[in-house]
Amino acid sequence: MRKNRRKARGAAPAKKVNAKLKTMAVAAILFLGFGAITVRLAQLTMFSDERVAEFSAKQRFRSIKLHMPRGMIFDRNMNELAVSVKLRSVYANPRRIDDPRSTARALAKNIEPKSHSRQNRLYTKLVKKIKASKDKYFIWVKRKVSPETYARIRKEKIRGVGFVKESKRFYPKRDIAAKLIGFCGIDNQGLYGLEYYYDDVIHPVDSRSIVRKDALGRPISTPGALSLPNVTAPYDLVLTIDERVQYITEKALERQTLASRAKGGVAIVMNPNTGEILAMAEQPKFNPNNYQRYKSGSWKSQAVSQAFEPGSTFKVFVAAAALEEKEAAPTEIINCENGRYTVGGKTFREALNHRYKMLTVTDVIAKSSNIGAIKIAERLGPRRLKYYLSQFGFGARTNVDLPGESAGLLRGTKAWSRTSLPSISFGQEVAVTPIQLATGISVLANGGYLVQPRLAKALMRGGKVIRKIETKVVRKILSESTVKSITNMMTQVVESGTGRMASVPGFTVAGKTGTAQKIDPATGSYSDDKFLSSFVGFFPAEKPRLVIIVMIDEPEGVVWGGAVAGPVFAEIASRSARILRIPGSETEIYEINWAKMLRRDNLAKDADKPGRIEKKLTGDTMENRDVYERFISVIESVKQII
Amino acid sequence: MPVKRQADYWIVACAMTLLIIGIVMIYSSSAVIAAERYGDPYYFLKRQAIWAVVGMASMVVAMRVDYRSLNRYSYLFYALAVLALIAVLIPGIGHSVNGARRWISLGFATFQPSEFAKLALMIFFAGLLAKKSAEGKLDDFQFGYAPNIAALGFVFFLIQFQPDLGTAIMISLVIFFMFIVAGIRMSYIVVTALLASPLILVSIFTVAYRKKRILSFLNPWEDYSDSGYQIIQSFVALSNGGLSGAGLGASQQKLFYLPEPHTDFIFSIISEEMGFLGAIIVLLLFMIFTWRGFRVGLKVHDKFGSLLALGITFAISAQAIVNIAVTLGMLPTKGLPLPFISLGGSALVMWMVSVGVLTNISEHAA
Repeated sequence: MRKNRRKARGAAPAKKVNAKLKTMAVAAILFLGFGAITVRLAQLTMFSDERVAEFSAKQRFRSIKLHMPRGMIFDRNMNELAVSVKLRSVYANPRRIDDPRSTARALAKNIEPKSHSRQNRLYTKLVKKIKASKDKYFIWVKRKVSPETYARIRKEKIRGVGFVKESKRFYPKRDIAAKLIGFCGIDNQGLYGLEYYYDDVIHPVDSRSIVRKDALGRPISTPGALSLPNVTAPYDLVLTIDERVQYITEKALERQTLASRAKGGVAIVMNPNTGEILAMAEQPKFNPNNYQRYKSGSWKSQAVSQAFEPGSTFKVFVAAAALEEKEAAPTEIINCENGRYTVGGKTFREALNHRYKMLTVTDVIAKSSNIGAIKIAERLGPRRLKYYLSQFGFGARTNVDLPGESAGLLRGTKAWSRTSLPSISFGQEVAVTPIQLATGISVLANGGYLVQPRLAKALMRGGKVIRKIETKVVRKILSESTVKSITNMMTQVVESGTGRMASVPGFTVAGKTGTAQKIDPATGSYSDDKFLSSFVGFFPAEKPRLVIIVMIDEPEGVVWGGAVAGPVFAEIASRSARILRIPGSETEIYEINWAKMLRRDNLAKDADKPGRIEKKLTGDTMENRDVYERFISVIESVKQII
Repeated sequence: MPVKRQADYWIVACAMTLLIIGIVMIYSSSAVIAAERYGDPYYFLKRQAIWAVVGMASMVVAMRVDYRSLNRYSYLFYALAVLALIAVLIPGIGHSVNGARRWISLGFATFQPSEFAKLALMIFFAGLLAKKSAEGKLDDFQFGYAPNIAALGFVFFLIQFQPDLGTAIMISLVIFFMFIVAGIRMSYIVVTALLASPLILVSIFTVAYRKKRILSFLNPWEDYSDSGYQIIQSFVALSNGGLSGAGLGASQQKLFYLPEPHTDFIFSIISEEMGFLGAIIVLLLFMIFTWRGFRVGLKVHDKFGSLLALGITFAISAQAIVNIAVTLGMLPTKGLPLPFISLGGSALVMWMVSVGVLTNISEHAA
């Protein structure tokens, strides 16, 4: 101890120097530290690692969806059939949620305020979802909520919960034209109908953009933020459909399918000269605004996807082929074998066991003789019959602009049996879709041309027509004289034959009835009580403006095509004519059967009623319309009296 | 007796400049976070401004108090530091954040006893070492060194108990530095350091988060989304800064990418917004401060004053180096604020008081 103290005292000045040196040494170490920091700082700020830049870019940018709405769908008169409305969708940012339970509770309470069980289910689902994705910046809570729900959640100001504007498809006319328009999925992708077929046209093109974001994933707009690219707006689609015609067609079809307790039905109104479809109605229908409530089988358009055996309506195509080939003339007499005719070991009969003897070719069509049709077809032979039917477009897709089109069934002659030709001549052993039938009838109505049916009229953008869709003539099939003759035969169907109930006051109508037995899937043979009742035709016969086909599937009670589908044709034709201002047949004398007109609205009642009222009306086109309109008003008042 | 001279205003000027840079950068780096968290972009700015005023007032008071009078109360300072460190461990008094009990709530503000303990221990040891030196007992193990170690060890233990290993090590570092410059035999110090290091290593590697910090320091890219996240975000900030910076307020990294941009990692944001050149100014200010502080320590004749001045300078300088080295990925992530600049309440006041004391000592430097 003592020794130590003495030593310390003696070394005092040396120690002081020593202490100063040590201090300087520590100071030097500190300045070395500052120096090292400076070097490192220079390296990290000015010569940084490539990994850092890469990492920085990766985390800084985010591609976000721009909310470009889907193109609208209009009818030919620019009435909105499909629009996009802005709705908010609720999302959550799990990185900003501290307590998933309270967030989920608040959300569930506001999204499902009414039902407790639904609220609890949503709560459980959300808690699980938020917990499972706690490293994510974005999860959907609920897409496209109502404005009320949005307002409720917004008021709560829940941390980590935000909204995005999204567009939702809305169909203001509900079930009108639903089958052809189709609908979209949650991401606005077309799923059915025109929405699907024209998806690449009306779907927004490039709807993504790169933006800077903060670490919570929110886009930021600083001077350095990238400008948004110019996104080309999608096209609006203008249809050939006339909403008014569509409406009356649907109503007429619906009324008749319900009245006859039919399984379904299709009606198409088409302009034979351009291929434009003005109306395409189907039964049963659905509301595309909540398509999920309907069976998935009910979404697609049967008018293009389902093929039927057409029955007697097919006879007109056989007759047209024979006339074109000069194998028959309208006044030529055909031996109808007194109602029984055996070919290939099979005996063919007439409907209702009629026993026709000698009929002109015109009468064969007007009275719809099966044996007459077989005889005419025999003159053509299988090869030419098959050729003409193919020319009419049967057995091939019409390429109408709807998805899921069927080609129907028309076998090659090699596959024909000995009974095939007679069967086909009156519409068995072939299957055609309603759109094929309408296209085939159009050939007879437009002077012999096969035109492609279509639903799109134009593409527009920003109110301007960008592309007009032109009429597409596929080929010429029939000569002028053949068309004229066949039209005359078909007017006889309505004037004196099986299609009298399809007559339209003020117009000469050309048409053909069909009552096809359906094949019973249980037995594989033709059913006795399941029919496809149809009427196909066009008017005015002198200068056809509209082709209308009506098919009623499995009506009950009266099944004859003339009685079931004919009146529907007449109703659609007469009301369309008024809407479209189609001039009546000039200087014609009209024979109006009032009782028949009344019965049209009262189909359950028996056909023959006492007290036929007949009235002759004459006049030119303009007067005709006035007279006709007066006539309709009388009908309306009579109806009210009844 | 040395005459009273003019104070070293370099020291005050450096501290004040750093304080002002800090206020500006705290606002820039915290506005978005404050708006997000508290709905008020000025939340942290306001707090820092109040603390800065309190700090400057305390500094002025400390400048006016003759530092030699502190020597008389050196034991009292030690006792107060120990009391505060014990108080903070008592639930109800001590305020716990993320499992660490480091703050005492005073109602209007919080107070961090370990910050006070740092200055208190410097005063205490400056007095003790000066006395032992005068008595020639400095190298005496039984009456000189061992009691010193016991006094330090007790405080170390209390702080480590919070737990706050980083601060405990920082304080020990400062006191050991004072041991060295006071003239305690190097062999004692080296042996103590050798004995202590296994304990520190054990306490690092037995606690999962500390171990993780060390490992992620060695390779931050290994686990860039978790333990390496903060340091990589700091690299991104520095890289964004370049030579002249992105511009004041234009930091991207403060947008929730870099955690704690207004406290421990404020230097990264300074570098991002002001670039290498701006960051160098901050470094230069610290270097001038260090140089002037050491100059005072070497020039003052009084042993107590010399040790206290050197201790204060070393404490601030070393903490600045450690903090900046962490943001540059040169040391493992440690929650130490940058003196004068980082957001900090009672810590800022203690730094300002230290500057006041240092300035007062400088008035007596020859």
